[in-house]
Amino acid sequence: MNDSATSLPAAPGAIDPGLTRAFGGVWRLTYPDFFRIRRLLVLAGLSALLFLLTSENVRHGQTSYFFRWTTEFYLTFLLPAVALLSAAGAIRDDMASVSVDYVLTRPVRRPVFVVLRYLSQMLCLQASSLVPFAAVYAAGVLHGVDRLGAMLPHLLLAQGLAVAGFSALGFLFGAITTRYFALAIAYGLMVEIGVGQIPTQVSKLSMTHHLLAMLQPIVPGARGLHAPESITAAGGAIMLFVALALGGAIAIFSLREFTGAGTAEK
Amino acid sequence: MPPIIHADNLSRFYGIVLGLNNVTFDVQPGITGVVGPNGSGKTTLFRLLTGQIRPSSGRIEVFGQVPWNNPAVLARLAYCPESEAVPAALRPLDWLVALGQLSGLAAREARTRGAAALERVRLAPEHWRKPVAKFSKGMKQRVKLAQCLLHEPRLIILDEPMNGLDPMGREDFSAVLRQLARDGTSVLISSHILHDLEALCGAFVLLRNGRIPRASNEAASAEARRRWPAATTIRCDNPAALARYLFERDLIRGCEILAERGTLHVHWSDTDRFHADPHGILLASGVTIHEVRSTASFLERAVEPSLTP
Repeated sequence: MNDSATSLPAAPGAIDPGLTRAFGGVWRLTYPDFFRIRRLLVLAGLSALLFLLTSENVRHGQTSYFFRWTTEFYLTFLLPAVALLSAAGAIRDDMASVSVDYVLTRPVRRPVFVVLRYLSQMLCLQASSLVPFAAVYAAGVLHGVDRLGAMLPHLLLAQGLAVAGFSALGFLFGAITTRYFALAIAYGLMVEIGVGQIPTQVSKLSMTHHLLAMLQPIVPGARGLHAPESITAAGGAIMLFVALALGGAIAIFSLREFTGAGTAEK
Repeated sequence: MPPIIHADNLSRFYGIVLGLNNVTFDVQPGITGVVGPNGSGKTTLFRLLTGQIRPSSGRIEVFGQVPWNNPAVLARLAYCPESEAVPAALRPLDWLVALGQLSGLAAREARTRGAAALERVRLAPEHWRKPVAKFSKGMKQRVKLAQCLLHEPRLIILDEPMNGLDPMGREDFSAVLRQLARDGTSVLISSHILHDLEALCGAFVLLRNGRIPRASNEAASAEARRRWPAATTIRCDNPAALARYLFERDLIRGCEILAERGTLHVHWSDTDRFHADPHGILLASGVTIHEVRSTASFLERAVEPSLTP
């Protein structure tokens, strides 16, 4: 329009706040929600329940049952479901008025915001996931499961990859629709349970397939349909899923118009 | 002085629902009121200005630039929405620090500025340790204003910020906004409390059904505000006698008598004649007068012309 208008003095806040400061802001908006007393109590309660269920599995079966329980229920069902739904809820919250009006009216580019929000969400979930992991692990230690110490790094790595991968998928589903729960169920049935169990190359579309293939040579109960994968290959595959899912979420989030709390659901 | 906001044939539709319909206007630096009934397009205008939505057609510029996804614009403005939604778990200062960092401030500076902003909007320090979600509506309004002050924006957009504030709170708010204007920050504010806006704003944008009706904006123009009111309400002992007296002298062209309330609404035939010597005319009528006031403020008349009798 006219140049004199643009020559008004700049605000002390920068046009580009920089990644460090922007991450600091997003982190401060994210972590308090994770570490509220009520939420921590729920987490502790569910972890105690998980401890009891794991103990029951080990007590009534053999040591290998512990690993099957850990890999097939905890690492490839419970944890992915929690990560996906938690992340989808987080991005949905960011499309609501409480976030849009205050956060997206700041000079942080939307793609940058999505990436920083993903990192904050994922780090918080990684931290809080250590509690149920400790419960499962403690049950194993209590019942004298063999070679548990040697497997700890691999189990932790699998947990980290599961949280990273399914959080990104949650961001994509949440960005697509408010009915992300239904989308998650459909995805789980079609890809993770359906395609992922087909003994062909197509099963590589499943993230849990890669997790199991990575654990297969190390953890006795981890059953893979195909040849075992190295940590690098499995980690690389899951990071590729992360990049694709996050890229989709960024594209949707960046192009979306936020017309208000009610209409953000459109 | 160059305008800070320029809209040119600006329209925004939500499917078949009209938000703004082909409006053209400029907003100059200073405090500008955006006035209109619910659904007139105020919030749509604010969302366009803050880059949350794009125009369906036409153009809008803030500081000479298109605001959609434009950090250069967003760095220089702040937005206080009408919505009461605030983060559930955060305390006010923590929230302000986070938002300050998103505006490019270092954490320590954001904390200092946040504390100063909370003091400036007079949120008592004993409330700083409570989560914002547990605040009363008025306290939330104060925190919402505080988050606008963090990064010293050049333009603050406030959507119904006076909602939920008591008269003292509204005066506090007005004082902060006047000080901001004196310091060179422009303010765009909408409110249903028209008297507050009249006292606060130097200019107005009047919206109705997504349009800017020319007659209403002329009625709220600076020139119109200097004119005498065309209608007056007089509370007196004998409104019928007073009406007869004014009619006989051809001072009024219409009136409404509310005898049970001792009130007379008159519409002057020649406003200058009455306002040249109001005391003399009313004293000469012989009727005991209790109160004389404009029937409707200029802004009320501009927004709702039917308010004049």
